[in-house]
Amino acid sequence: MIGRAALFVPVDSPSMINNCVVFDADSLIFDLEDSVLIDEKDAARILLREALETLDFLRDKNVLVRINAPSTQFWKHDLMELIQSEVRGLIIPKATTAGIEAVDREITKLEKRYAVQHRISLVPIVETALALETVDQILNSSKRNIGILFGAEDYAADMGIQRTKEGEEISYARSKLANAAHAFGLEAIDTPFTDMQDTEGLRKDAARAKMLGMTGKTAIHPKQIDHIRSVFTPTQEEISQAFNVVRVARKNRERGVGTFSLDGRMIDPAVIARSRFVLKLIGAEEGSSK
Amino acid sequence: MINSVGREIPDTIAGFKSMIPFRGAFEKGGSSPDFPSKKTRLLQGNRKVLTSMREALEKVGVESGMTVSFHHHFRNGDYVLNSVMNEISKMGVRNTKIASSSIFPCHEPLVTLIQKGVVTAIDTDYMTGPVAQAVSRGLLEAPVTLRTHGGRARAIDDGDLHIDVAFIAAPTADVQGNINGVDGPSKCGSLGYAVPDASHADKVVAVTDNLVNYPLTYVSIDQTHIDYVVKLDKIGDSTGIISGTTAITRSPIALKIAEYTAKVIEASGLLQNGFSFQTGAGGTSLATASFVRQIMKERKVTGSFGLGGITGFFVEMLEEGLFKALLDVQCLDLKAVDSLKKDLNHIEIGSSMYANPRTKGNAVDMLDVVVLGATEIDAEFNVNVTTGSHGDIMGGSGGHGDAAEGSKLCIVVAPLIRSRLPTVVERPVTISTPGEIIDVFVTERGIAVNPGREDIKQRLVDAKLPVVEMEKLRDTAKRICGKPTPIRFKDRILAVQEYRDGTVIDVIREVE
Repeated sequence: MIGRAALFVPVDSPSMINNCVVFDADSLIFDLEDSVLIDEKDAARILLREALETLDFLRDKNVLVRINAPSTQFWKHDLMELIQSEVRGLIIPKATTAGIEAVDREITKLEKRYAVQHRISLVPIVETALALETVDQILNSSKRNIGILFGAEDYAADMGIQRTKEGEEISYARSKLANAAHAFGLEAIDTPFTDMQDTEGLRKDAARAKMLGMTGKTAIHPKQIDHIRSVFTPTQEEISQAFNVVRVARKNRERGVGTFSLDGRMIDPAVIARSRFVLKLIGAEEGSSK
Repeated sequence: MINSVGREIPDTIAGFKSMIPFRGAFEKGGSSPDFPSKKTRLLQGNRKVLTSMREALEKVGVESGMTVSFHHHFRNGDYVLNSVMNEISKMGVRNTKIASSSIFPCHEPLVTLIQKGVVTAIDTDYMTGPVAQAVSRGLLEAPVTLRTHGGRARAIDDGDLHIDVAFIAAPTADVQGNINGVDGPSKCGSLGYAVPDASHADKVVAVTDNLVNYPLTYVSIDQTHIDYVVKLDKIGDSTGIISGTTAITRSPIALKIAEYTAKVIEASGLLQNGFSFQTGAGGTSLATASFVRQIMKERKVTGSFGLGGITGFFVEMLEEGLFKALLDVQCLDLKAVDSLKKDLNHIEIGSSMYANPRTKGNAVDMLDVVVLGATEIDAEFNVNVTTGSHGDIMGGSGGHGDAAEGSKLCIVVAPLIRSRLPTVVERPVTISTPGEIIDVFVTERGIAVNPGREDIKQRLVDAKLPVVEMEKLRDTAKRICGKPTPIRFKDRILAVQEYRDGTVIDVIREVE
């Protein structure tokens, strides 16, 4: 699960790796791609591997790593360095169908070689017009996919369009990605808001993404996290309702009933699935209550 | 006996003090032999304004073995200490004690004067830069006395620290020696730390670069205390008063600490009408003040006073009506200086009123909350703000111990790790402030509450703040940083850290 707010952490300083855990991000994305200079790729990989091995507090966190794009010479080295770590999720930039398939094959090969026990998931980043047009194929290209991430800056560059704070130019892309992700039952994570000083702009941008179906958003600075989480966190009423739906659904399932009525509203499998997702977002167990 | 106006005066009167007959209006006399004063009366026609520093030094009779004092309102922009000591050195005077409320990197020339034997002792509240490094290397024969700001005022008042000549950097002075810090090209604001020196030194010299006609209208220290006035070309650089950064931090870790700290203050129950508050300059302190300001506005709280070194940020809170008054012992930026002059509710106070523990009432004892820093802290909440983790002197108490003891809630804030060094340690290199007066320690990884403050702990737990045991913070830091190699010390003592009441809380030894 990627969650509501995923914080990008540049892997170019030990203190950043050390400190990122104190913020309330739902997941941490250690970045081996854009934030690391080409000359520093080796050092960054080794630093990250050592950190994942030695910093035990990272094990309590939902850690993902953005490796280098499958079109580069670096991604296999990234995988080699990380395959035996505790990392359960990899973010794949410049996603293409072929690229995701290649990464999937390489991971499978390494999993066998190193007898990796845990499952490694993938989150492709859609950041070109072609990737957007073929997003269903990308999502279909690996069973490891748990979500899709939108990279609007590169996408806008590929389209030759100007990015704006209002984000009207990426409405279509957001809608298409969100729709595809939901069609596959996956998470749709929105592009970061790049003006770190504009809190109000961030909240508006996150609200727009949520309205179009995105389930979470990436943060490029820790101070963005609380705002993103608050936008994507279900309201207390939604949470209470989700608890109710899941509780009644469980009882009805035992009696073999799939669709039922609750407080005058029809509850079908789609509503139940949505309620489970709401509970998952806030980290609540299905059987628990608040 | 017959006095000078021809009246018969008995030699003794039962129940009355010793008799001194009147000798004439302009004759020396009048002070009781029981309480001799070294202060002299200035008669009409005698001019206080002297033409040079040399003349002032000769007039006050500077000689070897004397204690000369300075204040630190210019912080790292002070020119006066170097100027005076350079002249003293030229006169061939040796073996002087410098009693300066703080010593900064700009005072580097003192290192040479120590080497030449001109300066052989230092009494200060805070020292950083080349002089502190030289002392840490053992350059000074006698141990430095390190005090708190309130402790220095107490020592001067009590006579523990006798000052032969006080030199007061005065941004504006009139010809009779009324001085202030709010006017002139070198304005620095409050002159609070110089007040005890002016009151108790045998001789007091005001050093100014803005001499005006009598009378000065805004007076920080009045003419009754000043023997002489000397005009120099420049007494200091106003921009040097800026302490730390004047902008709110952008560091996410510092912001996290500041946010937690504000929540601790809110949860403590002290953030109500009449709230009084002290925090320093620097990014984290300003961020904390910013969060507190927001809460005060939301909850419509009107505080009573802000205290201490005053920043423009506190001035804005005063102007917004969030505080009724600011009690200012030192201005930490130029916005505070301008406010001090124009706003009647921005009040200049001396360091005795600020924090002298042996007065009939000081301001730190009225404080609700103070937020302080720490270089190191141990599981018993003992704090080091004097020495670095390598053992060298790089600071001092300043007002740390004063405000910690006086306030109802003392919060110490620090990142758990600085670079690769843990803040929570088994044993601080130096104990500057005792743990018994520290209530809460806030880090980015959790908040520890002194076991003696169970009431506060419960409030923080109720507010769902991340309360952790100090031992857990210490262990986390150790797990990340490893265990630092202990510093090995020689027997030689380089400095004595006094607590505010004059007792010795620790000694600083030379590093092997």
